[in-house]
Amino acid sequence: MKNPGDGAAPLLRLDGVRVRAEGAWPVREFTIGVAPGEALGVLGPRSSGKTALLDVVSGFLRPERGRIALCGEDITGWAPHRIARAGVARSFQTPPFLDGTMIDDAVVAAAIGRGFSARRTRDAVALGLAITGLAPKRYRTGAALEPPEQRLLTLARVAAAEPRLALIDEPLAGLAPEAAGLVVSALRRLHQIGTALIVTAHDAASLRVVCSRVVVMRDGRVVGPHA
Amino acid sequence: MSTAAVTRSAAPPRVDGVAAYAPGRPPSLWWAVGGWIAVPFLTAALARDRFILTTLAAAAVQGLFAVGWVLLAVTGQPSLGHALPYGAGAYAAAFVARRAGLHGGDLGGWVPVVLTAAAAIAGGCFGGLQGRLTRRLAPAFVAVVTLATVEAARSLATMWTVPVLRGSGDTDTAIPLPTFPNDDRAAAWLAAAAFASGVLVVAALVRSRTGVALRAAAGGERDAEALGFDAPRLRLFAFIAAGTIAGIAGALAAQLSGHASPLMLSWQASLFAPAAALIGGAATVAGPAAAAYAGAGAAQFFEIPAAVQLLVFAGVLVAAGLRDPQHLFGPAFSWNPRPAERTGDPRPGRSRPIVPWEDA
Repeated sequence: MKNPGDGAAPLLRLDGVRVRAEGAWPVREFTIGVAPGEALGVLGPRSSGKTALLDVVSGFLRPERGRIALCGEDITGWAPHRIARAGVARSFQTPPFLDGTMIDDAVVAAAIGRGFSARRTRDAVALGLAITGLAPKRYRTGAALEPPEQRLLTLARVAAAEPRLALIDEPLAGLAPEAAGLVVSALRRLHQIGTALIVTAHDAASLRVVCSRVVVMRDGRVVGPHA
Repeated sequence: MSTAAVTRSAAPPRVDGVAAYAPGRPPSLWWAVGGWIAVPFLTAALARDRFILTTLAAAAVQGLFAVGWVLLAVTGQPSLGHALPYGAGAYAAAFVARRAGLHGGDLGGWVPVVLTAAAAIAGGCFGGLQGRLTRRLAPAFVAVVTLATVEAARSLATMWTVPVLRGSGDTDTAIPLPTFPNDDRAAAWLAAAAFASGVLVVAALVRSRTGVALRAAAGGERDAEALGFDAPRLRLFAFIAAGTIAGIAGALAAQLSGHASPLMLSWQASLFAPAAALIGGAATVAGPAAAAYAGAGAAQFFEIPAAVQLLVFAGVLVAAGLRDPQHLFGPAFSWNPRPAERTGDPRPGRSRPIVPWEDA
């Protein structure tokens, strides 16, 4: 398989990564590379290991075997917050509970978590809100957002971290087609500004709009590129 | 929504030719903080009666004790054992004074400073102990474990006063220490200054970048870690900072009254801070500070028995729990228990993006 991440300096490289969690092997002998600015889609049925793959890259799962490198630096076993500060942003399938938090504050937290200065935080927050179209609601609380807008808020936080690599878990799960279109548009804008993406989904059609390459996972392994 | 291109640049991003900035953020509440720290000074200046001055001093010390708890609330840690660092501070001051044989005029008049510093260290250490014990616990278990620690400490404090442990025949449960200051008006001013300092420090901390991190730590460990925050360390920091403030309050209370006693580690003291936060609004700093100051002042003025106070505090916690259990023990316990939609500030000239700490 031709792999854009196999070049001289891939942004992310997983070599023979194997993860054991809760008595199972959600990721087995996983080898893949992601090039800078690439958008990689990961397709697969439920329990195929898609979320576990994102967990292992973002440090929430520790690989039992194998090596993970970000820009050539070995990040295997790093704590999640350290990986996030190195430029890997992560969104979860279930949006965080932010009902009582002002949207602006929630996005500011992402930029501060990345360690940005006050000036850069201001710009990063504006960027995150612009990408997702949430700027008009920035001074409302999370409780004022509809479910699709809550997904956009998680993407705004990812964008405000100005990551080198964004790991987006099931961004379209449970959304109606129109709402999914909003999220896809935000993902495309995030990709347009040069952010590399790994996006997981059940549905190939939505991934193809955003991702230049789609691989299929089953039982913790890549079983091939999606046709 | 269109898929208009968005570019990274120093200039504000624009979508479809329109600046992507909202009208402005809500006005700052610093005026509330400023107003409430002025109240103890004003009342201390106006009071003439000795009983009133003593009441005001006690109310300000209790306000200082309660305002530190806001840091725990901000990080989503509903501690019911905040009396542990408070009592530890009082006992540390008494222990140092007793062991070193210190009296009011010793060390060139620096005895109160030495005792308060010892109390701050003890409060921070015991707060850190609570934080360490509850490091990875869910909020409900934080409440249970912290309450257990303060009960254990109260038993130890009571045992410390029995002859077999202390080596004397004195069965009085209180441990004496030098009284400071001797003048009632000076005591009211000192307590007001300590209260004001505590409110300002906590308000500044909550509004700072560290405060953003502390609030993020309340929103779930996975989410905070994914944002780049070391959530367990932030929670531990909150316990240490809150404990330090409580320790200072404990030392002041002990020096004003002239003794440290196991009552400082009672359920009444433990439930006072969370009850004040729930009454004043845990989403703010000024609210709990005001509720604690007013509540403690009223309790002292009307000489409300400790058992009745405990009943009231327990009632507040039960009512809050019945009203919205998720917000009592959930991750958002601390921050905006009742989400209210905040609208933009219509004032002109507020259209540029503003980060929270700038408003201060």
